[in-house]
Amino acid sequence: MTKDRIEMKRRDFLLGSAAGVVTAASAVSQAGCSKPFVPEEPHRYIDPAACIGCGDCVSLCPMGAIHLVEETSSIDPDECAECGVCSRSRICPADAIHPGKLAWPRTIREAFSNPLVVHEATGVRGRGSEGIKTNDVTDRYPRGSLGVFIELGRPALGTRFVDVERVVKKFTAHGHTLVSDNPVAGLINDPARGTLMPEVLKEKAISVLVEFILPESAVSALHTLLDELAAEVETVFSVGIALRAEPDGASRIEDLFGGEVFRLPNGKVNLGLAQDIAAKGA
Amino acid sequence: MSHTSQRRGLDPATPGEEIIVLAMIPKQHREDEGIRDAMKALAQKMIAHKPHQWLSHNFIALDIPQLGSKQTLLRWLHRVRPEATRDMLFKAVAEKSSVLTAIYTREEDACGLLRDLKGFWLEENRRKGTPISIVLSGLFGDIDKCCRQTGIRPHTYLHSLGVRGRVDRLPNEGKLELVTMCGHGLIAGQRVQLLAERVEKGEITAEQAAEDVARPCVCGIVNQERAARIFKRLAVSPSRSFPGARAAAPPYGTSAG
Repeated sequence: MTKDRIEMKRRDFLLGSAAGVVTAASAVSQAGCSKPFVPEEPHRYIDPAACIGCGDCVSLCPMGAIHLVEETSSIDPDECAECGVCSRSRICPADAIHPGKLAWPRTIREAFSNPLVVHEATGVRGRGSEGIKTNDVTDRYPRGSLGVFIELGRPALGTRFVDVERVVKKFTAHGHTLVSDNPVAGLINDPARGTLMPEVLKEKAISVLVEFILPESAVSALHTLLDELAAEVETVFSVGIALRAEPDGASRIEDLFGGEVFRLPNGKVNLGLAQDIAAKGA
Repeated sequence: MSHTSQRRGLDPATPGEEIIVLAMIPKQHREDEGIRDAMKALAQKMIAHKPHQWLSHNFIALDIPQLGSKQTLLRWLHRVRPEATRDMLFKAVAEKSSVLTAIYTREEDACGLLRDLKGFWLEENRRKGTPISIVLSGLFGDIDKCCRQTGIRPHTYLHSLGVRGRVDRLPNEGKLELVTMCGHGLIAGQRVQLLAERVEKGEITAEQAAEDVARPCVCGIVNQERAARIFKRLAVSPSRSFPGARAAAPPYGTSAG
């Protein structure tokens, strides 16, 4: 749970106090109080009574889930990924955007979309593991292996977990298991088939990163898997490949994937400055 | 955080636009004795080598729930004594966070930092057994040049093989160049569109648009200098269909399937 939800604003506090004294709140309401008790929505929402219809929040939503209709903004709960951009921006002059009270399985939207929320499984904010960033300490990707990152919904579109399941099932069927410290691993209900808990499949996130570690010999099979998945998913996915450098510091990406395979001219390089330090200090 | 590796629009024909330096304490070493001192020393070196942008640059504008009531104090302090706030924040981040990032838009600054790190800082880390991993993100050509200049040999690579699937649903390349600057996907395509239109009408400057578009990014790794250049490019184009895609690379990668 994020602290923005824990730290109640004054009005929320008053409403919460009212909730604690149900009979009193009810009596106040019945007595014609202008502000009857309203329970929190189970998702992020805009209070229609407070919204002044400026529409400033509409363009901020990465998922395009905020709409201005008849001078009142509202959040489409099905499209909202609970990233919190609208709330954190403080763009609303009427303070009408509320985080709501999320419950399972909707909580996974926030866990995967709000980078200020730490995944319990990984201890890392965001959606992935430490990946190559600490490979000079962890040796997660030793020579002869490939780290394969598939980030569903990235860029711009977002993803439903049903597409995440498509990817995990496909790789599992070919003998490649999702790495155990990936946040998605906790959602798998049948490791042998790679299926996810059925209640999460319709949930949506800005993006979901899944990771597999394959032997280099699986490159041609990987090409096939990626082509098949590209035809099956309802969103986009970005593909990243982690590779241990050769002893001279060179990358084998072209040797492995061929010169004709598209790749961006930019990427990331771990410089190896932490290599061997942990062992020496231990 | 494979995020910066998927940025669009960096072009080998225009090298040196950005090198992002990311430092991370491996999870199993976050409580090691001396590791926070090493992070603080690193933070000071990162600042000393004049980053175009680092965490706090954006931190002040953000509403970070974890900061609670300190947010208001920081904003006030930043208005009164910006440099003091900057130093204070970076030290605070170094003490608490396992990650530090900074964007360098001059190659000599990034290479200078690496050269500096290879000296006393690395020796101290070796002596004390405090491992902090350093990662560069940017054009491989730029990174390679820095490594050669400083005698550092790359350890691990992360390459992007582009985007697959329903690429027909994606915004065009010009918009993607800005949207992908936030690896957490927090920049909205429609915000980019709105800001580009306002720049085109002369209502705001490209620099103001760049500042606005960087606001949702909690990591502070949106390169505002490059973002402003992109907004300028989009504003002078004859239509709003964002034809800013660079011809040198295919738009997305391989087939849509």
